Amino acid sequence: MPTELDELLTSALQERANLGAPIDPARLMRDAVIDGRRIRTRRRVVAAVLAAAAVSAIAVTGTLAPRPSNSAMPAPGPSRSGFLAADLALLPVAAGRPGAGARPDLVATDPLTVHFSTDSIANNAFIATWTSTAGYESATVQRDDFQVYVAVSRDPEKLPPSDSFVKFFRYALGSPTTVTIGGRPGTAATSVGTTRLPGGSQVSLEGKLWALLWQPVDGLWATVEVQGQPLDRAVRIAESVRFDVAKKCALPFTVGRAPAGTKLRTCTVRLGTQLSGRFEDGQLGFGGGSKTFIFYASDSHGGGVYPRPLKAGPNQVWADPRGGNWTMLLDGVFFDVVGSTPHAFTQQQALDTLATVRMRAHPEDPSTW
Amino acid sequence: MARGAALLRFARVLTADEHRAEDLVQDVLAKVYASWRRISLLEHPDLYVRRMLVNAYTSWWRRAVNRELAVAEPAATSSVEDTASESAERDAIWRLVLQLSPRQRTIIVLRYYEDYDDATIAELMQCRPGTVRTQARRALAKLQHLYPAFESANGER
Repeated sequence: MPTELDELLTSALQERANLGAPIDPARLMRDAVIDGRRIRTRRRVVAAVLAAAAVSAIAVTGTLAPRPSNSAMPAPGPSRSGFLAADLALLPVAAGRPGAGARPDLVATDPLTVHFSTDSIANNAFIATWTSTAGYESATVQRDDFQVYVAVSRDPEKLPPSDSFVKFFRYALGSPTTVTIGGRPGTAATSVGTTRLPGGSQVSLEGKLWALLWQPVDGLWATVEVQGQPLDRAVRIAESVRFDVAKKCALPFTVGRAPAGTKLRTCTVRLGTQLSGRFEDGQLGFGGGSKTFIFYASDSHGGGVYPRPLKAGPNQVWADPRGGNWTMLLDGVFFDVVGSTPHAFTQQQALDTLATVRMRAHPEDPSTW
Repeated sequence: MARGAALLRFARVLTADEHRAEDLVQDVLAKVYASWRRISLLEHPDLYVRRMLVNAYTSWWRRAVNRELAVAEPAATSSVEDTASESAERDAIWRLVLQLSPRQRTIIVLRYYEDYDDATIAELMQCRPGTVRTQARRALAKLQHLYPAFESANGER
């Protein structure tokens, strides 16, 4: 039972916590993302240097051949931001599949297909991400001169999705104005309010982001959010998105068998220039009922160090003793596999699925995936 | 997003410094963003993030330069008029909390603000539950000593 002292302490601390300036969590997140990107890039550069050193050492001792490099891949060039920019328009064309312009009804029906192309934007970028999931398909491209988010859906209510700049960073938008995008009517709204830069100075968000919304064709809605460019440039960027081609949401690995009772629901692939190859990370999300089973593939693993590796076919797997989480290393790629709850899937179900994971023949060349 | 606000409130009572709290939270959130794919796979990501904040706070106060920063002085005495006002009483208690060592204050904040049990606090602070209980007992004894109104209160959990 709480004592007088307990209650006094609790109320005093709660009162103190709520004193001070009003909290703007969106600004906290925006600032954190800016700093976080720097941290992540720094870590990756260090990891790449360490990995290169390790590979060199291994090659010298002859115990393990380094992964073949793709000589056709152009080396990334330096950019003003310090990130390395390169052509990331590397997702293969989904042959035989129409773009969203011809078949808007196909949008968000196949997690392995993105029914539009951002190639003309991603050709000089340091990060590019594509997602296809229930309700919408999206792409994010980060470049030196701007960052853009694109999403398409058959349902305007699905736009903007939760991974958009506006939703994720909680931008407040001003009143929309009418614009013409590719000859079609649309709206444009800019971010409003202020944010505090590291160091304390306040800056206006007016014009920092433009959010465009239009129908490229009847039955299809598209939103394009552009950070770092004025409205006229944002419109031109939106007009550069092509809806006459479909691309694969392709990953450097395949999963031969879905976990029991599930089917593929989501695919995300992120290409970048910070690692030795172009693959940064990606995920396949399987779902069935309320259960989900996510394959997360990246250059580093997310769990602790677990004892006694298990076997999943030819692959070694480490299981979290608390259940629901497995890690597998295959050809330099870590797979963190996590069920929606510790007991959503049995260990055997997980191992059966992990045993079917195979790397593609050329995991460092996205155009072959 | 709402968790960022909750984290900042937690940092305010931990650091007793609005600006320091914001800096710490921003640092922690940046690290969270950089490692989110790993953190999100944990069973209790919120707890892990709080642990990051506690660690960041601990690193901060351990640095000699920061130890020299004076915290607000406690009320020398508590007058009858002060205790008549609940707000004044809470303010007085807050100032007494500031007199605790950073480690003790962390335990008190985790126990009375975040309402964590001793086992969770021990996990967050990477120490044994027995250490948490000992430090909490000492902190409460110190508060009782500084503030006579607490003398009759039993601070044990």
